[in-house]
Amino acid sequence: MIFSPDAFTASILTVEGIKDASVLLNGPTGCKIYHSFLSDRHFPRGASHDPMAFQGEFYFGQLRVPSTYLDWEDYVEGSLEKLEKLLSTVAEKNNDLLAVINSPGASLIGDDLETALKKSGVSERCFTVDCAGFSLPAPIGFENTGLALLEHLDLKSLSRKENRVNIIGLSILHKHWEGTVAELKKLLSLLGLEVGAVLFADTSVEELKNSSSAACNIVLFPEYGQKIAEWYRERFEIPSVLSPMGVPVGFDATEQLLREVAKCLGIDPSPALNFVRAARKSSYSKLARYHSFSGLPKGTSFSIRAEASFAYPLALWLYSYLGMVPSAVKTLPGGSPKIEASLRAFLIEKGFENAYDREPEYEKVDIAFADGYTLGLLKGLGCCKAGLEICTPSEGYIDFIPKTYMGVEGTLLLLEKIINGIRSSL
Amino acid sequence: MQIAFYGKGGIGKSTVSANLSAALAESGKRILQVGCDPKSDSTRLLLGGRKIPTVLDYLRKTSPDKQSLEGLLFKGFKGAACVETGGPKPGVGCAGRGILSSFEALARLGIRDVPLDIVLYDVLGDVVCGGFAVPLRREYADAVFLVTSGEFMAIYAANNILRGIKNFEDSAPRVAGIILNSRGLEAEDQRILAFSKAVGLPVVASIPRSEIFSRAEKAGKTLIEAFPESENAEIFRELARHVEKIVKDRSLLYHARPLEDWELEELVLGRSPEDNASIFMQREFEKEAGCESGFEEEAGLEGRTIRTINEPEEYLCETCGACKGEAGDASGSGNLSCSDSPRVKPALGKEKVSVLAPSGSGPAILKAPLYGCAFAGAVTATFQVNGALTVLHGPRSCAHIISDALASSFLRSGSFKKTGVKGLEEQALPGLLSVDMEEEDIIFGGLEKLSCRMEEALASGRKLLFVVSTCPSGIIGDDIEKAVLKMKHLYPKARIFPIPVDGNLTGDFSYGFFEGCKKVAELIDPAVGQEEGLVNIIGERNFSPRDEENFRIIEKLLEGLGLRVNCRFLSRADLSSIRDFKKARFNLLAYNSLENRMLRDYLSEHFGLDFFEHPFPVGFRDSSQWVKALAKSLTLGHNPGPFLEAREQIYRAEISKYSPYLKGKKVLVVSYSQDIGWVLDTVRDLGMELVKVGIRASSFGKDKQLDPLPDDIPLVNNYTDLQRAEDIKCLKPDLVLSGYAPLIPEEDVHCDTIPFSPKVGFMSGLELAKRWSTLLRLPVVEGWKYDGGEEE
Ligand code: SF4
Repeated sequence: MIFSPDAFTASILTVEGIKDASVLLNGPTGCKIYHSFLSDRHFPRGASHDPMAFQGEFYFGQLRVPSTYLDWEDYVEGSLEKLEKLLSTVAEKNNDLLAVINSPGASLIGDDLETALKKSGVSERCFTVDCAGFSLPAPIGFENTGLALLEHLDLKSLSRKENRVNIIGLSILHKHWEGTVAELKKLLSLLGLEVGAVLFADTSVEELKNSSSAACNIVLFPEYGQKIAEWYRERFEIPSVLSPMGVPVGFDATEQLLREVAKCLGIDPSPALNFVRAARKSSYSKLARYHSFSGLPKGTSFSIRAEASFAYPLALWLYSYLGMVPSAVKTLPGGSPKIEASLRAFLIEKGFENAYDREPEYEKVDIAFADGYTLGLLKGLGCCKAGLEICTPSEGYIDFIPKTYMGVEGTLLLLEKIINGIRSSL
Repeated sequence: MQIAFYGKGGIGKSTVSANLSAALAESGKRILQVGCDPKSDSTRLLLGGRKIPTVLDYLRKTSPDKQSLEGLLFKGFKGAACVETGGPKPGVGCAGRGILSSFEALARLGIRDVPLDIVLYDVLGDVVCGGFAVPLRREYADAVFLVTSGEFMAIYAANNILRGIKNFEDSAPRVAGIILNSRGLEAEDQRILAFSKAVGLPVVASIPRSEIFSRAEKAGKTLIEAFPESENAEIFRELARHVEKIVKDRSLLYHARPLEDWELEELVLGRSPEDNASIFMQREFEKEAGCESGFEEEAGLEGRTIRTINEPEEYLCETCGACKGEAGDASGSGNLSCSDSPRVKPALGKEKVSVLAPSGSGPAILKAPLYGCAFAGAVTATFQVNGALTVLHGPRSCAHIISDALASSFLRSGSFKKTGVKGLEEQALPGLLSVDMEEEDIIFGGLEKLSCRMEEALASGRKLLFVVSTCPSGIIGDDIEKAVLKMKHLYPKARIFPIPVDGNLTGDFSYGFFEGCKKVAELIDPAVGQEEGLVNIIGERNFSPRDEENFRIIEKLLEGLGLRVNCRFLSRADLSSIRDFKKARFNLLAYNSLENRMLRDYLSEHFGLDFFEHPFPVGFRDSSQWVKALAKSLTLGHNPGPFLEAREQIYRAEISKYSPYLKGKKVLVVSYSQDIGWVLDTVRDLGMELVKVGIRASSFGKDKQLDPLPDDIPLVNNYTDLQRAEDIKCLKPDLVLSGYAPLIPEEDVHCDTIPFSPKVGFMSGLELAKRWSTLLRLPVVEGWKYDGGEEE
């Protein structure tokens, strides 16, 4: 129950997800303050909040996303003068890759950003996003900005490293992205694979430049990564693996993704699958004990509000693995049409067609899966007994232990939260 | 009456409008000519060839408090007033937005109060965007003249303008007719006649090609002034008489009935729809670019003509100050045309006639940056009205940003339980509805979508709507007031308030918040009478987790004085409490910030309200004064003595619990703001020794009107990190208090933060006292702080 981020926000966080890259916002402070905060929240880089530490003209007390603080006059007269000043200020500070992103307003005045880059002598390490789009879904902003960035880096064809893979389609906007990267690295290492670059979450420009050496690209959120994977295939003939079930949520989807990766690279998936099997076993005993005296979690109801590629494998797993009842499943804008169709077909097939595309606040359920604000609202309205924050915006909980909802670790976390959520709400 | 002149760029609108202005002025009419072209030379012929400072230049160079209409209005021929809006250099910025901003400024500075008979707007080129269409809007133009020649592209532009007018036309007709500014082309008159017939408009003037225009322009004059006896001057006098007739008889105005493109081509070019359009268009373009005989002559003479009006060395390019620019409407053939030259300005010292300098002109004033946007501010205000729906007219980005900012406090407040959410699928946060403007809406205007959204909300039973505009909608010139007006006709019982703050185009967050509050204030019923024992609270913040707690504390204090809160303006306020706002006898300011003071002044002026100036008190001393002053102001006959004594007893008892640990300890205070009286009081009440108070150079809290700190406080302004380090070394404080705590404190001294958003009331300091008493017994550096360094 919150306006989900759109392409503009996603575009900014795509670049901010790179360790040594910075966004320069050509826009007003009204757009800047929020995105500076958001970048810092999703990918913290400084220890202090002291606003006096970032008192430069374009920073407004915030470490990330300096801006040209446009006002009406800049809209009328053009923003290039300020932008050139900002570019030289930032260029002096570090050697980051830079991206000038226009705010929705700035993108209307049609200023020639490229000339400003040339004048400031930063064309080599700076690219521009003239217009991230108006009200377009977040994945589009992520993909378009990602592609512009890759084009700018002008990747060279490198010799293939047979045990190297890239992960594509993970934004720092995604909940627990850090834990997800760690979990995927762990699982892939069981297949003898190393992760080269993660596009675009805590990766470096160097890793991106070397990303054309990967033997395979693993697409995590298809709506965020499919086009980028296609770009790699066309340029460098790098094949990609895309789980038809969406992200690896639940044991089945995790196994399927591992199998697909192994198949693509012609390697044996068993070490990783054995690891999953062991986790299945250990959770079995805990589920069995809980189920034997309560009959639960079978029959408990759930609602979801998330990206389609998350909502589908989650709903499928909750239904098939735990016997839970889908009451409302609402996906965020911009989801993969294929996965959206699979989700719909699944709900219809199982006789829960009413749950498809239903807002969670219209149903009272045992457990809801959504972003932090929606959960707050659902709880306040009495629409769920327990809730699990699976996407952002976050309610603000500060995680110390890296977490994920994907892979083995993620499935175990989901089980723990679901069972205890139900238990505490009885 | 207000008249706009539209036509293709270079067709001679400026010359036509200036001559008409001169003719009208000559006949005794009070005239204002507004040039809406970035070249800013529309009024030159009325001003003896002078160029005047533009509105946009003036706004840029003059601080808002010094701006006045006198700096913008210039007297020309026969007293005709002249204004130039100005605009960006070619190829940058948004000229349309420039027109919008200028018009807003003129309105703000009171142009409507100037006694005028006729206002003429000379508008650049075609209706290329919302900004260029501003003068077409009903509040600006009652009548529109189309200036055209017989060339296809000129007629094409005229037809496009008719389309623009049609978009803005509600019911009354507004087209005054066609003015033919002849190029002397073959069959030109027939073409225009055919066009005028097809669109149902009269040709109100036909101006033949003549070299006297060129001669008059050379003198920087209109024909009326330079060649009053000429035939052409008579044509303008005739046109002026026609305008006067229109003023009296609006039935001389016509509806806009534009042709389809193919109809136009068939009619003017005499070609069938099957013909290859591109060839014709290409030919026309070539012709107009001077590649065909008719125009070659003009193109070749262009430079010469400019020199005849203003010697080129008089005009230096604004960007580099060296290269020469072009100036003015000019035509080598003596005909009317206008060069699309970059904006130019007179070179200093080269002026033959001095130009009135705007007041406050001089070096450009460095403007303070705007903090946040007025859109977010306005929404923050209207969102506080329970049951109201705020429609966000902009792209989803803006909706996302503001909803994220409002969500936490909204969820904390639990007020959604009152408002309910059923049946509003498109809403994100209950109370907010985004229009989600897409590319198409940006290009073609978003009002249709806005209307749909409003209608959906009203049809679902909403009765109170606020509509707030964002930067993109402002830049494209969406007129949300017009859309709201239409909706009001459809839903007469609903209350819909447009708040056209246009993102940050009109101001920052505070300004927007104020604008939002003003709109909400329109819900106040002025007829409601006062009731005893009620007060309103004005200007609470709505972002801090402390807000609700602080309100409860104040509510309790008021209870102690026998008072109840009537309306929280604006914090989670019910419509009924806003309507009955005037029931309260007194209004209490929550915080003494600039926007709250503005709000106070506004409410006092409009509703004749009494205010209690003392903001929510923080700390014991402040709270005692607050209670005493409030009791006195309300002349309740209520003695606050016992209430205060009881509080004092509690406070002293609590303080005495902590003072044994703190008495005699030395404290150094470093703050960004002077708003720390309560912290210093607590330090003293605990018997601690205040060794120094360093105020850092910053703008924090500068908008507050603070009482000066007592004289005996060892105060140092513009305090630096270096001073702090030295003081810690020399003064050896036991405790350093500052806005942000250092991770590894210097010299093993205990450090703590000063709460940014303190608890209000008598007991504020006790939280600090309790904390400090334990803090001094804790390790100076906790173990985790050693883990942040680089690995050895
Ligand atoms: S209204 Fe303007 S400044 Fe405010 S969020 Fe939207 S684009 Fe940014």
